[in-house]
Amino acid sequence: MMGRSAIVGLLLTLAMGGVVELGRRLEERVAAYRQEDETFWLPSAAALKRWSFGFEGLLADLYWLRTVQYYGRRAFRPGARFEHLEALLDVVTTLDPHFLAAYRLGAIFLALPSPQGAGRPDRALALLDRGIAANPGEWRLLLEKGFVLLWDVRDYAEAADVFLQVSQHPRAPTWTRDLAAAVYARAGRREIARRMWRDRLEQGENEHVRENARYQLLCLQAEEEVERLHELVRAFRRERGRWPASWHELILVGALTHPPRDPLGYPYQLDPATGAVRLSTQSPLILPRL
Amino acid sequence: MLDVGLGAIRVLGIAMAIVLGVRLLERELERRTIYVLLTKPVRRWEVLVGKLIGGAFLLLVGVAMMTAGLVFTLAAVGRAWDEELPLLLPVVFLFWLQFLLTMAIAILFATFSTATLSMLFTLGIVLIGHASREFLQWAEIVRSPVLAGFNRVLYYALPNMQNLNFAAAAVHGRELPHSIIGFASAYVGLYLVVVLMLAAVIFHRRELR
Repeated sequence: MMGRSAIVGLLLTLAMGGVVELGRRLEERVAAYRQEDETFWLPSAAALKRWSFGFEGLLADLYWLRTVQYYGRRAFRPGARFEHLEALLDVVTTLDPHFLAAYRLGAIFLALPSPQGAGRPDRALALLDRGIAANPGEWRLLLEKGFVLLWDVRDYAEAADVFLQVSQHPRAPTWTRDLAAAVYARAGRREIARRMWRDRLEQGENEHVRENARYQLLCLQAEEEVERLHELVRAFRRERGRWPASWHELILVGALTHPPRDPLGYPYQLDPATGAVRLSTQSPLILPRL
Repeated sequence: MLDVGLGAIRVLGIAMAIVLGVRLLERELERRTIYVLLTKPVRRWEVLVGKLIGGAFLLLVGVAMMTAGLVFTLAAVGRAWDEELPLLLPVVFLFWLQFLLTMAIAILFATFSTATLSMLFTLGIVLIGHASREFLQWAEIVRSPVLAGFNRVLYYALPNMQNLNFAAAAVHGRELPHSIIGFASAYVGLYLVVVLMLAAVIFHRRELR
């Protein structure tokens, strides 16, 4: 009797070993087949919506999980490709046009440079535009659009315009105004930035906000001064054929009356080898366009 | 059209396999006809194999009818069904293997559990079998070697249903390589042997009252 049990146990173990080995070999072939052109079974978003029988929300959730898994399995892996990411996001947002997380996170997945993301900020913007059209009162999608323009497209002027639009939304937090002002400064549109920071200085909701606005105005002022000093240095070079060795030389030719200092009293630095004008390393100010 | 049709075949086929697998044995036990059967020179494992073969045939007929229905629908909406049929048949064949495996698992549970629980257990295994790749991914992620090993064991021990699902291939007009069909058949064949052996051992020790 024991002998029969042992035989059955042995046979079972052998058969299970065979199953594991066959499963492994099948897995290898299936993986190779599926990688050939990464065929992806994704129904058309419109057809899926038609066949969802009122369960659009549930299906959107399921496809969103699939999207996150799709992204998670590829992100940060060298040579990662995200060919179907946009199609998956399209399915999710068609099934549920008010699925804000899909627009917001989907835009991040699309915009991030490879291998963190798909490296397609243009498609991220298209997705966000669709979301904004479907959810006109949703300021967070506009904010996300501003961030894509700022970090991925690096179109500071347009990003600043979008942040300004966000800041005018009644439900948007007040810090979005600071963000818009800072990005206008980064875009080199100092006049708008200055107006906005002055407004924040006068009407900021607390001392911390007002202090920050004061600091930003000083930074803008410093940037203007650096540009003006650089212009003087360039004029000196045009006349003398060399960069000035120190501020003293500019005082001697009458371009300056005294060594220039930033709004907080730290002396500006002049590099005699390149003619570059910089803030003192001790200065707490930061030039907006750095 | 094709993806919805194939999806329907899968859902109906799995439901049919679970109900069939559980009911085939459960009815014999419920009506006590199993005693009559076992008075004949038939061993208990032979009863299980017989049930599986009969069920397999029923499933084959069911799958064939559903496939014919799908092809008929494709033709009715003006699709070139004659071009799609050669791509469709291997996919449907692998579906049938999947249903066979499901039915064998249902028979295994039916040898020691009630009908409702057996259906639920089988459905659970089928659902996990469709997502068993997750175990492999967890094995790569977790830091503990014990947990990683455990996840790998689960991945290889549970039936991998996803490797029998190639609906996407038919939808995208891609031909299935013969090697996949061959290995999938061998995999399911051997898995059936394991499941039936387990079921036979349990059924053999079961006290019939």
